[in-house]
Parts: sequence; C-alpha cells; structure tokens
Amino acid sequence: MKRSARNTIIIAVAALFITMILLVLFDLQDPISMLSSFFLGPFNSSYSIGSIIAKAALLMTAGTGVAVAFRGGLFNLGGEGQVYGGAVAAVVLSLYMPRLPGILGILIILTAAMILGSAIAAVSGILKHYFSIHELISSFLLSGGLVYIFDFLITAPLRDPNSFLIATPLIPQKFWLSEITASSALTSSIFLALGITAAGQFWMFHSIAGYKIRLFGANPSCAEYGGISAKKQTILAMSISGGLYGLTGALAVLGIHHQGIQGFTSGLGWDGITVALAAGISPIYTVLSAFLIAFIDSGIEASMAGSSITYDLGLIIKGTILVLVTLKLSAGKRGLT
Amino acid sequence: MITAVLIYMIPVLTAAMGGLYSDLAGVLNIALEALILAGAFTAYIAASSTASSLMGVFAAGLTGLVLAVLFAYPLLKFKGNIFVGGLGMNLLIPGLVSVLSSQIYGTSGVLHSADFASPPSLFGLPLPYYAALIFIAILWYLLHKTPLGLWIRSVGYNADVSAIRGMNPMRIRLIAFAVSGLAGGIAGSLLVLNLEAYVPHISAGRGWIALAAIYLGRKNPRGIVAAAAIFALAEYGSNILQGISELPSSLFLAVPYVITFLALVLQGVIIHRKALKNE
Repeated sequence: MKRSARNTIIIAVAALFITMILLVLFDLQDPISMLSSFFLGPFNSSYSIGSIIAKAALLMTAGTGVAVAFRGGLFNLGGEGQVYGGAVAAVVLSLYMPRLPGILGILIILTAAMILGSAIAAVSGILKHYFSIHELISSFLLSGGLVYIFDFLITAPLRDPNSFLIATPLIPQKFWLSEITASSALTSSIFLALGITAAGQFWMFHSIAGYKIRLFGANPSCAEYGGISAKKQTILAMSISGGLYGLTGALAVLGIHHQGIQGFTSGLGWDGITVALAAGISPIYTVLSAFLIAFIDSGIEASMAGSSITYDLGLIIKGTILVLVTLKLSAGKRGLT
Repeated sequence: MITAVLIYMIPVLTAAMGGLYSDLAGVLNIALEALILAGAFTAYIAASSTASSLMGVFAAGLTGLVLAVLFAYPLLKFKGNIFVGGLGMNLLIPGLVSVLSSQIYGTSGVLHSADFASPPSLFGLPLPYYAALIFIAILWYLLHKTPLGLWIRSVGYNADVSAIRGMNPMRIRLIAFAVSGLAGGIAGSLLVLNLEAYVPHISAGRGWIALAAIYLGRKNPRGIVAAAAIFALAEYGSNILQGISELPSSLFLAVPYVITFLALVLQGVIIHRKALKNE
C-alpha cells in the first residue's frame, strides 16, 4: 500500500511535468505567463479553490467505484452513461417531487441515482456472467446509447423553455447541498466523498466481501475453487462501480449545477477511470489523484482566456497519465520498484 | 439504398477486420476509435494538400500503422496493460487531433477546402471504398490461407506454447496490432473521402461498433461481415426515420448503439440456449 502511495505521487509529478512542457509548447513567446496562469490561476480566488475541491469530490466518488470494478477484474466502460443517468434521475426527482422534505429528499435522490447507476452497470455484469458477453463492450455500447437518450430527455421533455441554455429549470433550493463557504461550489459533498473513499478502502482491504472481490479479480478459477460465487462477484463489482458513478452524477446536480444541462457530466466517466488507475486502484489514494485531475482541469480553465489553450489539453494530459500508469504498473510487476 | 448501406458498412468492416487480427493475437486493440479519428484527420490533410484521394487513403493507413506500433511496442515489451493503454490513446489522440487542427488550420471545427480531391465514384460508391473491399479480402485471405494467420491465432490461443514452437509471440502480436492500426487508419480515410470534409468526432463510435462486430461475428470474417451489415442497416434506418420524424435528432443517434447492443445480447442468449440443449 505504501508503494501505491509512492506510485501515485510519482505519476502526479510526472503528469505536472508533462503539463508544463505542453504549456510551454503552446506559447513559446511567453511561456512564463502561460505557466503562471495555469499553476497560480486556480488559487486566485476562494471561488476557484472551492471549485477544485468540489470537482475533486466528484472524481473521488467515481474513482472509488472504478477501483472496485478493476479489483474485481472487470472493465466498466459505461461510466459516461451511468454518471449522466444518476444526474438525470436527480433532476427528475427534484423537479417532480417538490413536496419531499429537504434532508430526507436529498437522501432519497442520492439513493435513487445510485440505484439507477448500479442497475445500468449490473446489466453488463449479468450479461458477462450468464452469456459470456465481454463487459467492456456491452457497458460501452449501453452507455453510448443511453447518453443520447438522456440528452433527449434534457433537450425535450425536461427542458426549461425560458432558458437560453439547453437546460432544465433549476431544482428547488432545499435540495441544494449546503455551501461551506459563501458563494462557491464548495459543498458538504466533499465530506461525503471522503467518507466514501475511506469506507471503500476499508471494505476492499479489511472485509470478507472485499477480499472475495479481490481474490476473484486476481484469479477467477482459484476463487471459484475456493467456493466464491463468480456470479455474485461479477454482478456486485459492476453494481458498486455503477452505483458510485450514479451518485457522482447526483452530487454534480445537487452540489454544483442545480439543474440538468445537455452533456454537463460529460467526461466524468473517463476521468473516474484515470483517477482510479493513477491511484493504483486503491480508493484512499483517489483523494490524491482526484485533486490532481481537478487541479489540471481548473488550471486549463484559468489559462484559457487570451490563449489557444482548450479543454483538448486536458484530454492529452489525461491520456498521457493512463499511458504512464500502464508503464508504471508493468515496471512494478517486473520488480523494478 | 444498397450504396447508402455500403457507405456505412465498409468503414466499420475495415476497422473490424483489422481489430480481428489484434483480438485473435490476444491483444484486442480498443484504441480503434482513436486510430479511425487519426486516420480521418491525416486523410483530410493529405487529400487537400496533394489533391489526390489515393494519397489520403495511403497517409491515413500509414498514420494508423505507425501510431499503433508506437503505442503497442512499449506495452508489449514491458508487459503493460493493453486495455488501459488503449483507453489512454482514446483520450490522447482526439485531444491531439483537435490541437493540431487549430494549430494548422486555425479551427478545431469542420475542415473543408476547395483543393480537396473528391474521389471518383463507380455506381454511386467512391472508388476508395472498392479499394477497401480489396484490402478486406486480402486481410481475410492472409488470416485463413497463410502461415501468418496461423501464427496469429496460435499466439492468441497460447503464447507460451507458440514460443516453444519457435514463434516470437511479441513480434507476431506487434504485426497483428500494426494491421489493426493500418485498417483503423484506412477506415478513417473512407469517412473523410465520402464526406469530402473533416468533421470533429467523425469517428462517432465506429471503432467501438467495430469491436462489437468482432464479438457479434464470433471472431470469423463471415460473421463480421454480417455484423457490420446489421450495424449499417440500423444506421441507414435511423437516418431515414430522422428525416421523416419530428423527434429530436439525439434520439436517433442512440439507434446504432442500441441495435448493436441488442444484437449482442440476442446472440448471447441464443448461444446459451443452444449450449443448454446440447448438454
């Protein structure tokens, strides 16, 4: 476990170093101002610091779920659809059940989003177990279709006709997660997310259920020989990862956006995978990798004004992180670290 | 109608045949989506700067091949996880293409130019599509009638035994991966040559559909042709419906994914039933 902490830090440092090189390449005339707006910009205001923490909370939640699937030897590539599904579920419930009392309502909304997310992912688990359909393909295809269906829900039936955005009306204020500092995106969701990573870590490494999933992931036939049900592990690992993806979507609605906007959770599914892998598939280290990704995203936003930087830079950095991770993982296997 | 369906079908089929090589060698290339996009972009550059559509196909194939080898070599050498690396490529390449597009052309949006070489057509199908059919036939032949195909399948079946039998599993996997890159790049060029422009996200999930087609076709070329045809019919049907219906277009974009997913499920159920009967 100490090794994964060190690996996470090595990957973080390497990612920031690559980011610096890319930034300098983007603006050869004035690299200093580019670097300073990227690395210092996010700390300019308490609002943007709050945004980093709020974004990191989402990424930790998603990353912890992905880690569970990976430990079970499963690839859940349906994160985009599962996050979006959780978000749309949260919007629908808050708009159509306005009589729900505040705190209880929030709990119901979060639970419903988790159930929807895990149901979507469980389909791939069930297909994998009973019909040997590769979960990597089925989860991606299902999510690919669902994303467009959720887009449709936001563009047509749920859309607020008075809004300039393709967006739903704002949800009632009593469902908004409470702000920690005034006028910022920083809400109580960070405590929930930290709780989830801690619980995830404990569950995975110190509980019998977690042990079963890890054993099944490391060697399915050995696990089955030891009396561990392949069906249960496959479906459970997929459901947990989908459930936490769904929760991520609901937290994005209740904590940050307070409405549904077309494509507003796009990228969170893939980011969850990057976060989990950069954390060495340990829930607790997703805290570190989630802050790294959230910082990179807000650095890009801070340096976008007056430069040629776009969100594409983020894709390049995250892709590079994933490639680094595989090399790092393999170097570990060969006994180099 | 047949040409319209073929226009949807051939790029997916090309990518799927290449992907089949990687899958049979035991290293499924999930970066096909990104390689199609890279191929499409380079095909646009080549076809608009040389005024030759053939150069577009050639440049796209070469780009796909080089990227696949650059990506696979270190992963095979150091036994990295090819899936995770593939996910990385699927993020990295679209980002890179978009940045290059705005650096070269000043926009990361739609690219079209008067210098673009429109490929000649025969029976309504652009000539490069016929070239792709020949390419598919060659891949099919190599896989089933030559030692290379046998090596690829044997390495995928059991790499250790293949090594003992004197093959070099790493080199064969690299070759299989290079073929998948070549095919992905060519598939991308077909999209651009048909549209006579480059549009962001032009690959639109075709790399993933191609991967699904490999499984749907049960890893044999004949099945893959049928799977690609199902996808193409779904895409064609959804385009027709989109013209008639007043529903928002986003709903129709879901159709190819949903149909491919349902076909995969249906096939899984049928095979399962058959297996139960035979027991």
